[in-house]
Amino acid sequence: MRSGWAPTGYGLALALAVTATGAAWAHHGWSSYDEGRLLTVAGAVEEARFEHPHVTVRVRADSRVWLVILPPPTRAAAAGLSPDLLGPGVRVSVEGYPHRREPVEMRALRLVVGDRVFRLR
Amino acid sequence: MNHGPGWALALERSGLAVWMRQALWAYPAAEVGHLLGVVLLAGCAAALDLRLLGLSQHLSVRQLAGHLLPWAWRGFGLVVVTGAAMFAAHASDWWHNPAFPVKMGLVAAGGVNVWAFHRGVYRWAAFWDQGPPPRAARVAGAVSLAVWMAVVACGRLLAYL
Repeated sequence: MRSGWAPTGYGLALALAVTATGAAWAHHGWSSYDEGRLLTVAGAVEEARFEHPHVTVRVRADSRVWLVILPPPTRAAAAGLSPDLLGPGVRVSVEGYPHRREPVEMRALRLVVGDRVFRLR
Repeated sequence: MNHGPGWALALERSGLAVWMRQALWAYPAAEVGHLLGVVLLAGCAAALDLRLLGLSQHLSVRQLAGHLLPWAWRGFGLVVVTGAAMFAAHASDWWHNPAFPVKMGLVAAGGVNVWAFHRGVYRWAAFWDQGPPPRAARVAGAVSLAVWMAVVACGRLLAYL
């Protein structure tokens, strides 16, 4: 039978898929951030990227540069954020959850720029 | 980003890739197109697969295939175009994502299954056009169903690995 090889090939592919799934769950999902710890970081913007899949802002606070993960650009825009608000040197305060493994990465819940407060989700 | 093979990094710097990352609605639009393509491809394939597995045996296999397979191919075309655009946007990230090679391997396996089906048992479809399908057709249908379900699962896992 010509397609007799197929079940074996599929079994191999499935085994690969299962193995890969076990490898590293939740690199991107919000579950990587510790919702039990609320953190505030204040500092100056070094770089902001309004790019898919997530807006990211690098914030220098004292000697550390935090990588702050915001929602996708569409949702950030809906919250009122725009690239020109986050130019280099702008002072910001970020409230959010720290990453469970990365020491200077956080998910932003609230972003304060001057007297404007942005609630993110 | 900023790791991975040179061609992937070059691809990420291309105009299309930058536009895909920075235009507000380009990426979501590509995702919608990709999903519609998957629905067409996997949906049409599944409808034929169920017949190949022995369901609805009063339906002509050749008529069913003649109706469904052109739409499956159009879905595949949509998936390739939108998938390539999304790949370009984050080429080095996808390159390092463990779900990506598995997904591409499964797509290739699906392609080989299609090829084997058309080269093999479907050639004498006139003899089993109505009634119970031969064993090789059941195997091809089962493989196709499983492969496309696994491809969808891998596609979604790309965002979480």
